[in-house]
Amino acid sequence: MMRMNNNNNNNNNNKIFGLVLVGGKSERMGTDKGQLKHPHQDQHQLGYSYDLLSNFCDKVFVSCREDQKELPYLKDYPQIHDQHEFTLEGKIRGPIVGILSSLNKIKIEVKDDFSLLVLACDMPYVDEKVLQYLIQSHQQQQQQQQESKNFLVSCFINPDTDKAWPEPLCAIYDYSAKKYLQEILFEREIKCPRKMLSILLEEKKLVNMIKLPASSEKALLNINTKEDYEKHRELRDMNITVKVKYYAILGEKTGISEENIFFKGKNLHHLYNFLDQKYQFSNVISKDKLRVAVNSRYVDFDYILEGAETVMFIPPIAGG
Amino acid sequence: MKIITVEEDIINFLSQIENTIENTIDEVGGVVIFEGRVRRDLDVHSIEYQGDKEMIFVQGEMILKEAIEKFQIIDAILIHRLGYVKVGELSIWIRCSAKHRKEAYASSQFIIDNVKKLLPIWKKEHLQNGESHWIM
Repeated sequence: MMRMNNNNNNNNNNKIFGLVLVGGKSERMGTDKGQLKHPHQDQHQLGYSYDLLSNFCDKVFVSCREDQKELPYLKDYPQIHDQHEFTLEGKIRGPIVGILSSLNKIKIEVKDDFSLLVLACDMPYVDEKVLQYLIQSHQQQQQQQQESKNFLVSCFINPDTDKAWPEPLCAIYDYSAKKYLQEILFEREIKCPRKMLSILLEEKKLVNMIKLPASSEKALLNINTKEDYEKHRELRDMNITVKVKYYAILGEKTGISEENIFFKGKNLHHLYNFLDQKYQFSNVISKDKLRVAVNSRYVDFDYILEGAETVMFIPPIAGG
Repeated sequence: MKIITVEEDIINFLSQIENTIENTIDEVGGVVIFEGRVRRDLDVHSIEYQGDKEMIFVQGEMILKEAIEKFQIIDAILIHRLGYVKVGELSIWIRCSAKHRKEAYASSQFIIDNVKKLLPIWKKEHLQNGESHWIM
């Protein structure tokens, strides 16, 4: 996957910072959502989101409440805590407080204008492709409109909402959006970021609304309840990522020495079938001539994968 | 116990590790060294060995451990060549040291047999006429 180096690609030289939102109370889930294991990865949701943003951003911060700062899963990440002035004297909390606090805090540090790529930690289906699409669209818009600079926020239209609402928790905010968001918060006491973006869109035309790429329509699904989470964990049984190494005749057939494979299935028969379809292994060697190893040990094709293993299909060997 | 893969002539490599091989243990009464070589064949120009080093180490260690326990030998060393090997050069070098010659010979045989069954190493013959094929 191509990674963006925004120092080269960002035409108005704005730096991009990342912000993972983990400050929610997670009341319906009953446990911090950032701390939950990602439904399909071997890391927690915060780690996944943080690493993802790191691919695109100059620096990534974690937005959380002050009382979360010493939590073991959080304490090693650079944090920005909610600032009192954006809580309407302690009356409100929520993602908008985290976003405004971060725009404010980062500006003090960097002085220049910048953009903030925001991602909630409970959107496990957002991936590199989706973020790259968002950033590219934002930068294209900035380029086209550099004079008037109309769009201060780029976000996806969330297809899971009833009337194509803007999705504020996987979006890019230019620093200049802060004063408008602040106005809406302070003067109208509206704290829902989705409503705020709708107002910015309808009244000021400041929002660049983007349709999700066709293959990523489910990217904005968020997981709020234990039941939802369990449902998504179950899907894990069907979606596995493994590292596959290729040697000898299989290496020649694939043209590569190793790769990560994300496939639907449970055991090595399923993985083999997936690869056979992709590379037509059976044109060069029949399956019954292959042995298979997981993490450097020979196993049967019935071996059940958990994910994250290293797999090698082994054509007849000839050492010695 | 050592499992080593090298991408240079094993003969040259041996002189580098000579000092690390136990020579002085009083209990050793017999040492068997097995050398596998690329033999001359009219058509073959060279042999290419490909291998997964990580798994060679894991499997190699299992083989040597088993040999040491099974035959009660004192030590075993296994070196396998990878990359292009010319006719006459060594492809494998195995050294078994034991109290008596019987165990040294038996363990050496056991190790080479299991290497051929278990180490993930593949061999490609490059022919004089420019063609090549994997031995399967």
